[in-house]
Amino acid sequence: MTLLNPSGLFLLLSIPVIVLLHLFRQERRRQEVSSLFLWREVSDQQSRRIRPQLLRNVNLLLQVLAVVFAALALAQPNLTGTAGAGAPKMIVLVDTSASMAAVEGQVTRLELAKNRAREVVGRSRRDTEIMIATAGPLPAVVQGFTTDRAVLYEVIRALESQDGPGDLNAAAEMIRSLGNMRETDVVFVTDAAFAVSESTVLPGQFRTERVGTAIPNRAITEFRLRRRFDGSVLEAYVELGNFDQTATTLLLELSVDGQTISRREVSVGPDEIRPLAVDLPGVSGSVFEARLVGNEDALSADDAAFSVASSIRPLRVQLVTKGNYFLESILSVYPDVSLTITPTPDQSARVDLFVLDGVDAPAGLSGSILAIATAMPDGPFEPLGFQPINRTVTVNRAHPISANLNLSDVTITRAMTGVLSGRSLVVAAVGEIPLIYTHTRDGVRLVGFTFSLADSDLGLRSSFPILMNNIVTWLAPSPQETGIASVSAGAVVPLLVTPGAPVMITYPSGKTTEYVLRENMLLFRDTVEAGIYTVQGMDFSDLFAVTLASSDESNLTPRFSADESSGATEIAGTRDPGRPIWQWLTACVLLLLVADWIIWARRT
Amino acid sequence: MLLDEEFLRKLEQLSLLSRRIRRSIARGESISIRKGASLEFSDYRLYQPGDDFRYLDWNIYNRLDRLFVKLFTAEENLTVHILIDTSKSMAFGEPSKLWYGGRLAAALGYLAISNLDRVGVSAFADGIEHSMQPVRQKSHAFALFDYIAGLKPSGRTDFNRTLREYSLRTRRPGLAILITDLLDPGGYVEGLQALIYRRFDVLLIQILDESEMAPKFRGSFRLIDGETEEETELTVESETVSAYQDRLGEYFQEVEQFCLSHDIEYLRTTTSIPFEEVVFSYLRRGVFVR
Repeated sequence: MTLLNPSGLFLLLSIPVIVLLHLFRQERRRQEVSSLFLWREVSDQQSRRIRPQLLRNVNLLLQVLAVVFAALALAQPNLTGTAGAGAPKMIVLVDTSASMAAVEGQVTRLELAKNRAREVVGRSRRDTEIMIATAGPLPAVVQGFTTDRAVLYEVIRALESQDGPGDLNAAAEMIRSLGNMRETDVVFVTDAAFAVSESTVLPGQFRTERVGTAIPNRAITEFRLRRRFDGSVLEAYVELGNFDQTATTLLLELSVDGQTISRREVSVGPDEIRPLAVDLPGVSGSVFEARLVGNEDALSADDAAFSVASSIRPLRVQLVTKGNYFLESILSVYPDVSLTITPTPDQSARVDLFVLDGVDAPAGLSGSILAIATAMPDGPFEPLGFQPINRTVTVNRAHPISANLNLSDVTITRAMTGVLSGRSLVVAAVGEIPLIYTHTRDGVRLVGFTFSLADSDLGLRSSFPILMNNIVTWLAPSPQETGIASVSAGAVVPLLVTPGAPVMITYPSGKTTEYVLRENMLLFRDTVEAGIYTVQGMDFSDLFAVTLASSDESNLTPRFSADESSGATEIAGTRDPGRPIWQWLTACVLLLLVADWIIWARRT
Repeated sequence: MLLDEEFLRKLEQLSLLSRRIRRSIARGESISIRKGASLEFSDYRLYQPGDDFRYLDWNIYNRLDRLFVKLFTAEENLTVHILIDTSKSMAFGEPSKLWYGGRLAAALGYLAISNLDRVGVSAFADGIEHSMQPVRQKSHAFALFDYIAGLKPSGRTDFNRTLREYSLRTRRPGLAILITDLLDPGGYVEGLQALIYRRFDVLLIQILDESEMAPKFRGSFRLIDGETEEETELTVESETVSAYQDRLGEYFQEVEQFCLSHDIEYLRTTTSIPFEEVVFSYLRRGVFVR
């Protein structure tokens, strides 16, 4: 058991005060009675029983106990578990972040880490069950618990570094999510070239094995493209980092689609990150690359950064309506929206977003749908009738659709009543009547309105364009909203795809992966290689860039001290606090106080 | 004044009954040994051999041709001994038991005087403190009231000793009315037996305060005996009070059983019961007053 707030135990100092108060209170009051002779008999009976004697002091006892429990509760004790039976367990967590690709001498830090991991495995008892996990941009368990050393060595040998920053917090969460790991040894093999947040909760019996030394590095730590408001001119923002004790001059080269468009020398001071803005007038193209030329340092992954400025693929919206001025107006003014208006749904058309306005929705419609006063066959809402609305609309602020939304001034005269599936989320409602809901199941990403815009003044309100923008963004997010797609390694890229149609993603290394989804959105997570990714759909082709660009990873200096003799390193962060029990202690305090009160009331 | 005039007028319409009088429905041959005012006809019964011929009713014999003897009730001069407990414990309560008992004594005394009975009042604690000589004239009623009004609580109770002493020194037993809280650790049996042996009719009126029947105080106390100043420490809880009341109930039962077995009339009252109600209702119900 650990105490997270030992100062809470100072409350115990109040116990002498309580005892003193009891001593003073023990002064018995005088009570005259006409005769004692019957009372004496009662007193004799009472003194023969032990319970009243105990009761006399039980209030003091209960109060002292309540203070003890309260002090313990304030001290926030956490159970760290008891030693479990069976074989010992160990998790070898290997840092596979980009900095592990740094070369020290003749080998990379990752190779050093692998050697250390093998040593850790080799030193363990033969019956120790060992798991191998990685703590790269996407933490993963690469080998479950096993005692088979050959398997473990093979898994360790196959580990590769990823071009992204490490995420110890995510790795720790992943380990904790595996179950009760409080008694499990967790050995983190790392170059310590990252900062650990104090809030990171380290799992199990955590210790680190540090590899590598402080070595200088120069890197592109930031590369972003920005289009000017009028969309005509591109601007590049570059940050160059010099993680060395001496100043240096770096040669930065910018290229578009393989053609060099700019080359300049930039002086960067010791341990300095130098920002740089470069206008790129008249430059067009899709793949932009910033590269440090002739930079011979330990880590090459951060010598280049990428960005994509492709033409924006318009969002294909099919508005199915018998005529709705508000919807037609708002959808037509959105940039990069290709709007088709039709009285009946046309499922044969390639559509990213269906907007159904008071029409009969066809069965089997999938993808992103905004259904306004439209009953979807097999949809989550089964309408039963209409009901007048005369109360204020309440909005679920937790939903992204309600961001910056104020519906308090919106008047809705009537709305459909019906049964809403429990798997749907209500965004806005009046009492029990849902007005706006979302549903993401069975290949459908749906936003539903149970009222018609004709029965409301929503179209006239300033909240209407905000709501529609939120809805369109939620239904059809795109990494290319600005036409520039560049994400950090490890980030999730949402890709709008055609449901049922294959999507091929080509990695910078040439590896390809094919996806066929029922939904119209692919949340692509495997962004562990820096470079340009190609997304090839049935009728479109997109690019996006993944770049390391992380000053944290490019700084190859260990952030925390190491005991070089043992290799064991103390790491900042919070140890797994175990299971908090202050709630139980607080409940005990309440029970004790209630018991104290009951006994006191019985006595008086 | 202890009693108001209207109450006194009502009292005049009542009279005290002694059991002995009620018992002494004598056969014709039984003549009271005491000075009696007259013999009052009571009833007839069939003649049995040995009966005094003087009490045969010849008129009935003429009509019915059967012999009946007349029965008479002896009218005695009843002496009423009112013994009122003036120990410190009688000062307990609001109003005090002594005040309540004093009014009861005054009422019963007046009632007796109104019926030309002799009435003597004695105050006792651990012995007979002082007495008022028996009186039988109505003119002495105010003296009786003054005496009773002047009673002050003092001393501790010794019920047995007091009654033994009183029974021995009284030459003319009669109706002994004992007004007390009967809270004497020394008991009451010997004293009451002494009166019974001396052929007293005994009316025992036990007066308690409501707070003695159902104590309201709770908590940790030093209980102080009102008479002896002795102390005992006690944590008074609801359970303690229940135990006390159980014990009190047992005590009442013991007293009742004793009185029943010794032909003693026993009346228990609390100072919360209106005094008039006790006189006109409870005592009448117990056939002490008619």
